[in-house]
Amino acid sequence: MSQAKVAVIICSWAAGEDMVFDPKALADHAAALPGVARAGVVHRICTEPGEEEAVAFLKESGADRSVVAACSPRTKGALHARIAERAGLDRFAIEAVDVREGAAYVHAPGPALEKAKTSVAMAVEKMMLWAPPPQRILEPSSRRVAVVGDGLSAVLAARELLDQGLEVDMLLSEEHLWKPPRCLFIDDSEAGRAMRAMASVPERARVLRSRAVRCCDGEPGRLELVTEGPGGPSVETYGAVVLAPEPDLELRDLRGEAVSAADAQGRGARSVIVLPGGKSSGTGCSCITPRGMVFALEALRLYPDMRLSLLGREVRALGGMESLQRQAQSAGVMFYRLDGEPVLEGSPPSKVSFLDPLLGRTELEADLFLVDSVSVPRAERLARAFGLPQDEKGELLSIESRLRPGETVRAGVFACRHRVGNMVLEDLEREAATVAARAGELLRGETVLGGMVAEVDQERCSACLSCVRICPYSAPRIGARGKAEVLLERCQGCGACAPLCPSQAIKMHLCSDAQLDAQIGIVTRRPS
Amino acid sequence: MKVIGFVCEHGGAAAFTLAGERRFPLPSEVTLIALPCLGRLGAVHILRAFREGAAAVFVAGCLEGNCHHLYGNLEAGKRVEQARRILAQVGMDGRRLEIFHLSSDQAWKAREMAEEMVRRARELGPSPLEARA
Repeated sequence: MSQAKVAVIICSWAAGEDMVFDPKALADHAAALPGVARAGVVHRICTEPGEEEAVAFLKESGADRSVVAACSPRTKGALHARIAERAGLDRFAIEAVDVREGAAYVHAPGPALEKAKTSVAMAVEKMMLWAPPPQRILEPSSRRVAVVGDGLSAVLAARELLDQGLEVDMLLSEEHLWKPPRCLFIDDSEAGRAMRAMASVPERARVLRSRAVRCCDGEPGRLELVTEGPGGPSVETYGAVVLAPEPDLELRDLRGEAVSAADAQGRGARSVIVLPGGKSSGTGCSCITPRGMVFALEALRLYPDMRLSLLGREVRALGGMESLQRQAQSAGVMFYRLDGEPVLEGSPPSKVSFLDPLLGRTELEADLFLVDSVSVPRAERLARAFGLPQDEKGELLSIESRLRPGETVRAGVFACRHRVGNMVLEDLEREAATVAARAGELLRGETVLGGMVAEVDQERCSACLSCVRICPYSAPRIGARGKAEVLLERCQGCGACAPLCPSQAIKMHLCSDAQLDAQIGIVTRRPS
Repeated sequence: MKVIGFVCEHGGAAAFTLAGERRFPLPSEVTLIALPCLGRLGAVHILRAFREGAAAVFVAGCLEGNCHHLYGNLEAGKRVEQARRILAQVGMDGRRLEIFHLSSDQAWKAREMAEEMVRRARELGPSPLEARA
């Protein structure tokens, strides 16, 4: 352990653009800390020359681990891992510490430098106790990807995967693909684009019809999918699985029945109000969406005498959708803004009352009320088959939609999300491309598992099942030796199991008890 | 006087980062220790912080029902209660320990939290354990 040597890199931009403190002073302080082999300032580590300089610095330092003091490390994980690897270190041997948002930006110059010094000292102390965590590069055994879904989302994901040169099995839960709802397309050219994909993609993939996924076992790169269908149960091995459940985007009446413009006319409706889905319904939002506008435009085109009103907190019309809104407005569709939830009156409802921020309390009459919401009808079944948690709105939980798009909590299983953008064709296409790109990355052998994961000391474990019960991701299981073991590919490193273990048999890599204690020790140490 | 904040990466730490980006002045007595999730936190870590002389400790994670790792923040609530009971047994004021829930965009709340804990620490004075640490 005494051989541990830490190299400390201070980014020249660590003190912010107004140089609240001198990065050099921080480096000098770091150089004097016990265990530090070398400390220095690197010019802007997040730029290409900065990266080169950091790699050279680490190579020359002779250190086997490193601390980088810069801005918030939240989005820099991949960069730091790359720098470490290029310098011949373990990819997890870099600890990033935020001395900009965490010190320079929030304290007066004097205290800011002191805080930065403390933060760097904490990170150095933490790294002194660092040990290489379990890790493994995923080596896929199959170039075949299973796309599970019944509609356009699945078709688009399959197309992206095929275009990457991967083999694709499309698993439909029914005999035929679902027809995409009209409200997905803001014009006819979009509808045409989607129809061409629906017609051509299934020809290039292997389509397995009426197959229900029962469970998914194995590890990423080698996932065993158990399905049931007309030919009986079958097991197939896939490199990755893409879940593309089809969202339900239809406007529905208050009883939950899907209603088209023709249906509205058929019911004798002369005045129609579209209410936002809001919190109550599926993944609907409280805004006016393109779905409502497409419906209204279609209704007005067919039945010019119909009165259409759209209610919502704001108009969700990103990008090209603005022209759709203008079109709807000039066609005579009424847009109402509301604060809070609208209240329906009468039975059956004939009136809605709501608070318009400009008009005040407003009442509107109509003979048909529709609700604009998005739900994912098959999500629950998929969640159960794949052991995935769902979020509060029923959608498959994504691990980090911004930094790790497309990923679910199970490595190797990717999912299209349905709470993105406007939920028009463009959004579906973008989501499919994202998910396919992530699956492709895995199949090219670029995914590293491990790092911040839990590990069970087999000698100490008493198989009490505490970890098995608490884990949100079903990562620990009782292994062949009758002791708990953590599956690397499932562990998300949240650490919920560690404090619960009565035998203290669980070690959290990169965030061990000893490392936490060391950090507490540095904070509370009095100046000598 | 030292105040230690255990923060989860997704809620607490992210909110403090945002507070930094917005240049909110924060009390320099507060030092954060980042955790992958509040579920990682044991009562033992909180108690150690006090034993080493921290005047106040706070724990900050995602909003209830919105934990990035599903329920780590609620688990942490139990640990905080556990630690508070032990603090009461050794005669330390329970107000020195608090748990907060916030989302990553509530930078103002991060600032309020930090200020609140420093205020409490000032009011209650240095930790009785500080001299021994």
